[in-house]
Amino acid sequence: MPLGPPCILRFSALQLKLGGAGGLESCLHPHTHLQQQHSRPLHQQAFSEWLTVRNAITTAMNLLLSDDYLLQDYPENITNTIRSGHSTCLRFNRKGDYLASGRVDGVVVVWDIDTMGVARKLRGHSRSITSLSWSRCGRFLLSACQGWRAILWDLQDGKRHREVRFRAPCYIAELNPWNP
Amino acid sequence: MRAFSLTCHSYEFAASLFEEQAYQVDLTDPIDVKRVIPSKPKRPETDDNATREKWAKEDGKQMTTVTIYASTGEHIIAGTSKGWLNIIDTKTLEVIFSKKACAGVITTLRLTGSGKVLLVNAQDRIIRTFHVPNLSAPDLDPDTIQLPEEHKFQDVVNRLSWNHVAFSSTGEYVAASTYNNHELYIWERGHGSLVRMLEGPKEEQGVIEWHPHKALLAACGLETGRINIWSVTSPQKWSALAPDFVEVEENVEYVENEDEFDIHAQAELTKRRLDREDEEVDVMTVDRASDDGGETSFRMPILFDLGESDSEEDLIAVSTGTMRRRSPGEGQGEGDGEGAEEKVAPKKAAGRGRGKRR
Repeated sequence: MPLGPPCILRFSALQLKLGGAGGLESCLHPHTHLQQQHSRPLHQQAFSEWLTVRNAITTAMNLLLSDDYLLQDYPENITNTIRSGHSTCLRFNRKGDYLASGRVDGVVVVWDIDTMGVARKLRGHSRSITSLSWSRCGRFLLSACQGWRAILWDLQDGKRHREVRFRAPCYIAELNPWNP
Repeated sequence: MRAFSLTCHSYEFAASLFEEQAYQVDLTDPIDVKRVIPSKPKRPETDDNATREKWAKEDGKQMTTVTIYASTGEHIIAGTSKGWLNIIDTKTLEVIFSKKACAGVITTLRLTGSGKVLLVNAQDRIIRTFHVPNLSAPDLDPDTIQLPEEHKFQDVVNRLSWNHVAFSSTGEYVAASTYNNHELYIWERGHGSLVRMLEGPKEEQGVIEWHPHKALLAACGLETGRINIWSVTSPQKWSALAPDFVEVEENVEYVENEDEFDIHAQAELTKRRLDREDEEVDVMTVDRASDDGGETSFRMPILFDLGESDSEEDLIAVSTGTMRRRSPGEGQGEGDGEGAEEKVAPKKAAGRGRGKRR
C-alpha cells in the first residue's frame, strides 16, 4: 500500500480538527464524548457521526503503527543484497512488486520484491543488457543489449514476444508509457 | 490484419543507439517499422547566413544519446551529445522545442511519476532538474513552451561525477550514484539541499532505481554486479500485533484471574475446539481495499519448477526430485550462463572475493 505524504496530511488535519490527543481519546468512546460535551443521551445522528469519525481515526491509527514510514521517506541502510550473476541494469515495474535486472551475460532476471527471490529468468540476449523498460500493465518487458538487439518479453509465458535488430549497440530502449 | 492486432498488441518504443541516430520502433505489424528520431535542435529563424552555417555545422555532428517518453506518451524527450534537450512529437517526429541544457553529453533523463519534473544527468558533473510544461494541452503553442531550470545538484568540493540518477517515488528527493566513489547522494528537491549520503559496500555503484512508492533504493555494484537494496529498517513493535499487548520496560508481577489457569477435562477441551471449528471462514470474498484502484494489472504466473526459477538458495538438481545445495566455491564464474548464483545475503562476509576474475 502506498504510504506517502497524503496520509500524513490527512492525519495531521484530523488531529487539528479534534484538538490533539484529548480529542482523539474522547472520540473513541462515544459515551464519555457525548456526556462530557452535550450531557444528553446518545441518539441516532450523533452515533453515526461518531462512527464515521471513529473509522477515520482507526485508519489513521493503523497508519501510526507503521509510523517509521511516515517519519522518513528516504532509505537509510542496506537491508538486502541480492545477486544473480553480474547485474548491470535495474528497473522496477509500475506497481513496485517486481524488479528486473539485466546481467553481463545477457540474462534478464525478474526479482520478487516481497521475497527477494527470483521470479523469472529470461534468456535470449548474448551480450550485456543496457536497458530495461516495463509496459504499463506489467506484462511485457523490453530489454536492450550491447549485441544490437532489443527483445520484448511476454511474462505470461516468459517467452520472447518480439525481437528487433539494430545496426549498432542499443543504449536505451523505452516503451511508450501509454501502449495499449 | 485486424484479427492479428487482437492477439499482438501494438507496441511502440524509442531506442537510442551507440553513435547512430535514435529510432522510434513500432511493433504493431509483424515486421517492425523503424523511424529516425531527429537530433537536430530547433533553431529560431534567422537571415544571417554565417550564423546559419555555424549552426548547421554544430548540429551536424550531434547524436541523440537518451530518449524517454513524456508521461502522456505523446512526446519524446531526447538528450543529445552536445547537451541539448529536444522535445519531439511522437506522431510527426518533429522537434517542437529545443533547449541547450548544458555543455556535456547528456547521459540520463528521468521524469517524476507525474511527469512534471525532468531530471538530467550530464557529463559536466552537474545534475539538473527542469519543470516540464503540460505538453498535451489542447492549445499548446510550440513557440511558447518553456523548460525552466529548477535546481542544480553538484559536489563542488570533491568535483564528483555522477554515474546514474533517480527520482524518489514522489519526486521529492533526487538520488545519485557517484563515479569512482562508494556513496550514494540524496538531495531534497524542495530546497535543493543534500540530506543524506548513503554508505554501502566498498564498491562503486552504477545504475540506481528508486521503488515506485516505497522508501527503497536499489543499486548495482559495478565490480561485483551485486544488487544492493537500501530501505528503512523499522524496530520491532510487538504491541502492533494485538491491541491489548503492553510492552514493559521491567519485569512486572502478573496477577492472574481466578479461572485463568484452571485445568479442564480433556473431553471438554476437545468439544470446545470442535465447536470453534464449526465457524465458517469466508475465503472467497475479495477484499476491495487491497485491489489497486481499478487499473488493469497483470499478475505474473508463479513458476513451480524450481530449476527454472532457482531462487534464494543455491540448489543443484542431482537427479530427478533430489536437490543439493551448492557447496561454496563451486561454479563461481562471473555471470557464466548456467552457473548463476542467487543469494539473499545480509551478511557481508558471504561470497567475498567473487567476481574478481576478469
